[in-house]
Amino acid sequence: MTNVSRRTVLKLVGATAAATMAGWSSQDARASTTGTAVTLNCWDYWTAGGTKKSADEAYAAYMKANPQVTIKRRTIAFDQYKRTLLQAASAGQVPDVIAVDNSDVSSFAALGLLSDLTGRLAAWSGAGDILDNAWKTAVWQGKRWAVPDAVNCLVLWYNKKALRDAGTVVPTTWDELRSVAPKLTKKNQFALAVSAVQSEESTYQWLPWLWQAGGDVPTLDGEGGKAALQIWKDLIDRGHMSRGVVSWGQQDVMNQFANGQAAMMVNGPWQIPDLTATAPKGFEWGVAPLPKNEQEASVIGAEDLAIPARSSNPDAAFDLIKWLKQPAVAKQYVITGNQLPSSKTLVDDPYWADDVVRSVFVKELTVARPRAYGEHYLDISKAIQLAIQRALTGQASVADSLAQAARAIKPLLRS
Amino acid sequence: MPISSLEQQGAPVATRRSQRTGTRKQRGNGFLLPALLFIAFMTVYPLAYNIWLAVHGTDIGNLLRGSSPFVGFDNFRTLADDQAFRHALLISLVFTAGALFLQFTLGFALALFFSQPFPGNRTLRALLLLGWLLPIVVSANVWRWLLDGSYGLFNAFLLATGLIDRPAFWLTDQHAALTAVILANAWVGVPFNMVLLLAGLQGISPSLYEAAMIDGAGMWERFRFITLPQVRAVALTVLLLSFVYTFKVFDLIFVLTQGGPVDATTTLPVYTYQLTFTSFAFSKGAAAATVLLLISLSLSGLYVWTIRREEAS
Repeated sequence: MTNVSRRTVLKLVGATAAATMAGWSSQDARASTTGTAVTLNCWDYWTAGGTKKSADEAYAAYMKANPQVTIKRRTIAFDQYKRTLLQAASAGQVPDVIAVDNSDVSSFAALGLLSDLTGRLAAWSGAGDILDNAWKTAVWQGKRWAVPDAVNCLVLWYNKKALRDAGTVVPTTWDELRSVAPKLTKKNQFALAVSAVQSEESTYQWLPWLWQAGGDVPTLDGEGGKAALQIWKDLIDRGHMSRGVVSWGQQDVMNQFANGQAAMMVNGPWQIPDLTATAPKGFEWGVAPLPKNEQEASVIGAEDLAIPARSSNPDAAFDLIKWLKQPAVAKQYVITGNQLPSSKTLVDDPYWADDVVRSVFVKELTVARPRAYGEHYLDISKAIQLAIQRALTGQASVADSLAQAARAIKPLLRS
Repeated sequence: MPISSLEQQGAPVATRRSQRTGTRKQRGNGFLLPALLFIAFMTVYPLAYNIWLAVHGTDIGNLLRGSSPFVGFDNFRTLADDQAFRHALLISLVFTAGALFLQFTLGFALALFFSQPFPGNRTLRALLLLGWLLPIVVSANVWRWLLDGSYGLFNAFLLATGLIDRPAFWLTDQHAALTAVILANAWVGVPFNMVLLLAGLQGISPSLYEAAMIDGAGMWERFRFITLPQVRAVALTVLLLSFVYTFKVFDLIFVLTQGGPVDATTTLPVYTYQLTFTSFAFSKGAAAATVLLLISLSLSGLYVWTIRREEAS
């Protein structure tokens, strides 16, 4: 009796397995021969919140409009993402569309992970609608390897009540920032919060200051670099910014601001829903451009969409990307994701242009620069992080920290 | 029945049996196959690939393009000359030693405490285990909030009790940061140590203590001459397992400090991760991972050797 049932079970399992395999192979055959039914594997790391929802909705809409295409979306935790991608690529099993942090595009391209989209993009009319500074994140060695997805940038957020209580207005220049900082500092409240943790977040947060001061990464230890690091150090040394910034990520910075422990913070648009949810009732906040020094500057973040070099459906993948970039589709996508549009049409859309908060973001986007320093950017960034932390913790002077970083960066910039 | 007929009958029986053992053996091998395949794919293959990477020159330029040159022990030589690697190794050793000391002594003390019957014993023990059961990302984040310089509960407590007179920035200070991650890791590790040691303690026959008490042994003598020798084997196991677990800790440190400030908490696993995914120095990272493996392996070897010697004597 037991034997019979066991055999039956085995038979069933075998039949199912055979059926499944047959199903797979016939599906593959259809996809490759007739081009009618296609499965697109799309990978990203948007595991929660608006960005997750926006991709789900957009993909569902695409499948509805293109019934022959099945999109299989896979979200992978950010810290596992690169590893999973590299493993898949080494095994030759790549997806068809991937989201890439825009600071990683050049290293992914250098790895040979991405297909060169230059030719396809030249033939696509929609390419001209994408912001020029967003395009710069997709370039490596003069070629384009990705298409900007939604973008973001950093602005200055302020607690309206704290500013009112101190009798000040939001600073627009570094000098004004220095002068309002003491007024905004009191017991249990620092004037400003930034992220200076040992990770890409601190480089992301500090680069705008470097650019505002007229500096740049290749001239890191010049006057601009020194001024940009000195202002952070001064704010800490004078007690206007917590020493804790050295261990805070941007989420911690947001928490400090929401709890009223920082009167102002530097942060991006993705924090809007979280801030609305966590801040106490009646919390009034506003946003303003980052204070300028020699010039205005912010940094452009978020993802680009790329097609892996060995994707089995590059044409269908590119079609999906083009579809996503249509202003009407992209609008809903960006709204749901709480990001900023990378489209010239949408930047002028009333949803952004006429909103008191969002207009600040899209205006700041015009002075936002890409982190386009070649395939060794992450190593360059690591050197910058160490310089920031050495100076802020007092282990080395501002000049020495930057000189050390500049020496480390020099050989990494040559590509 | 004549003997001959028995033998006649016996012969085919024996043959049949040997046939059956044969098929049973084959069937046994069949059952072994999934496990063997699993080990081959999940353990042997990655290990072999890691070692392959470690003796090749694979980096951003040739990981996917193929043609990585064989470089022998060059990666290991580069590591030996690399100040950052030596620093990471040192930090790893300090971290492991500190965490092991804390979690073993505290775990042992708690095990002794819980080996005494008292009301609420089981409930308390179960609650203590929670720390170990929580996902590391959760406990690491809780510790990050507790240890924060400006709003952390830990500082509030120390300030209130007068142990410090101004807030300490546990995760921001070059020296305090390592202490802080050791503390957090010990908190995660204590329940594990406690449970295993408690099992060891409960395995000691009460008659030993009774006999000792009749002989007039005091509390310290009972601990020194009965408890300690009796839990020795368990304690060794606990220490070894804790060492291997602690030496390879990555997630806790990554969440707490990301290896900062200024690499003050960059242990070997964090350094390996950075080499591989920040610098894309895949082969150098694999070499560092191999060093990590060798250290853990040699300790396991030492452990097996000790246990064997003990069992023999």
